[in-house]
Amino acid sequence: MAELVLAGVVKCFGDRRVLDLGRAAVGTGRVYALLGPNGSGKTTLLRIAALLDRPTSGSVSVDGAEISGLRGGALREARRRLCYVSQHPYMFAGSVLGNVAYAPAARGAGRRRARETAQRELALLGMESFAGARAASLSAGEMQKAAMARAFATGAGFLLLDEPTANVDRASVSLVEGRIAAAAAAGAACVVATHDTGLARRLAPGTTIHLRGGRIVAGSRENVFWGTASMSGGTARFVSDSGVELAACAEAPVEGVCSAEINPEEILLSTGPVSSSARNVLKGAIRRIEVDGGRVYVTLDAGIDLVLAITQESREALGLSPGLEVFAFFKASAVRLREGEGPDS
Amino acid sequence: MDFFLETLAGAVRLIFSADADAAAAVVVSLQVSLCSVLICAAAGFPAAYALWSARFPGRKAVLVLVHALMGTPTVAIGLFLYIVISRRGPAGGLDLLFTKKAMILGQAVLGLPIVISLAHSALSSLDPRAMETALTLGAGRVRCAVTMLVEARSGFAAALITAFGRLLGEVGVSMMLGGNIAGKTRNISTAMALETGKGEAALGLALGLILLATAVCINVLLKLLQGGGRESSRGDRG
Repeated sequence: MAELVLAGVVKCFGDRRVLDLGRAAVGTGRVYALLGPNGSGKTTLLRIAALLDRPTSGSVSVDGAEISGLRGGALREARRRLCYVSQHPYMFAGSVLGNVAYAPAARGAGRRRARETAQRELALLGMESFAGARAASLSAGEMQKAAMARAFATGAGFLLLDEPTANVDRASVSLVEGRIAAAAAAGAACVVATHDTGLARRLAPGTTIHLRGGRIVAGSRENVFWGTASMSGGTARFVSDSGVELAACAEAPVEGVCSAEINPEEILLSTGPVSSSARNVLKGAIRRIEVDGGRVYVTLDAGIDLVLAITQESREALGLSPGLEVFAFFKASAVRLREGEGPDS
Repeated sequence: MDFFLETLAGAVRLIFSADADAAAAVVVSLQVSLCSVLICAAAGFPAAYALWSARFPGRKAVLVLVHALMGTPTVAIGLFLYIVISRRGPAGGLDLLFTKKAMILGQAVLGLPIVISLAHSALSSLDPRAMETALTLGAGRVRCAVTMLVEARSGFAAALITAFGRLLGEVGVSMMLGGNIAGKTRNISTAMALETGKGEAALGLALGLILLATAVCINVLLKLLQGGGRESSRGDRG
């Protein structure tokens, strides 16, 4: 298994620090989802990983060998281990087949073999009938699929895909997802930046990387849980996949598969049972205590890995330590439900 | 008015009578300017690509110099090269003066800044994703260059056609380096200068009309190529 590691990568545009990663590592044979709001640094991260942009500081390495500082021929060689697909891909002049065949040809395949690979990749994404079409005449969604086929045709070990399903129709989403999963099964690492939490859950359960303001926040630190919701009266009842029940407020009725997100700052902690107006009370043992940026993040094992943020003073006053049983309180309005997306929802 | 009409009528008669002197001048013009423009392409395209893709100290200064050289008076280039290749000059031993080779050399020097400049701006106006896509797909140095040439093809063609137009019509270099020797180095523009000077306005005008027709053909070709380029760039965005 090969491993791509971004260590201490910082990217600044002028005074603005758009990316400040501690450490991010992806291994071959798996799919990783990169979730985060607009401007959270997803594209910047992928472009740095693909060696298209240089980090302001920090390094990118594959299997322990640094590749981000290379130049010239060594840089070209290192880039061949990776392939980046933009959300708005560029198509070269000529046919769709020519574009897809470009990838294997650029990596040394003969003309005939390159075209065979291209034809196969196009067929896998249902694009075989477009092979002879002019690439410039494709719609945005078709272009995105053609660009995906072109990326898979590289056979690169690390595929960095920026919102690959942003423009494609529902039927194609499952084709694209299937192709991504198949590439991972065949030994590639696929990093998929997306807004589609459904895609993240389907393709990358447990390997989702959350970005906020250019920083990686641990998947659990985001407090995003998957489950199903049902409405009763004015409130929604959310049952996580692991069976934990939560009360939630929903602006619009939410039914079926969805995600629940709880801001760690909106959760209170006590060492004993307290009667309060909070609709949600979870009991659990402290699994982990981390300090980051002056805040203390406490992870509870409460059926779900619940993270809450407290101050250093509270931590000391309550005498918190791993293994201690505590209670977490939060209002129903602290639980934000988002409907799942994708064909299986 | 009579003079004008008579001259015009004479010119048209000359064109259709396929005058041998006029035909020879046309052949020399096309030979010399085509050869020069090919040299400009062979040297100018790689130079433009290097100026666009590589980052080295003094790159901006070179670009400014190339832009400035686009406007060099043809007689200045002619005079400079005349000194270099004349018998007493540093390259006098090559015996180039008053040959077509000298004219080709002079016109290549004249056209090179035009080709480099226009090819460079064609590359600069390329979508930045073009190069990135080639790189991330694993293209090597040569494949990247060829891909960019294909992507910017209409701009490159425009560069060549613009240079060809300028070379075909210039007098200074051809006159000073070619010497206007009938049947050998006399081309359309030097023949026109001579015939008009001798009072043979009809032949001069006939040659002028041929030159004009060639220029029109070149421009039509240019418009067709640019039309094709625009169409594809519109599609790329959609």
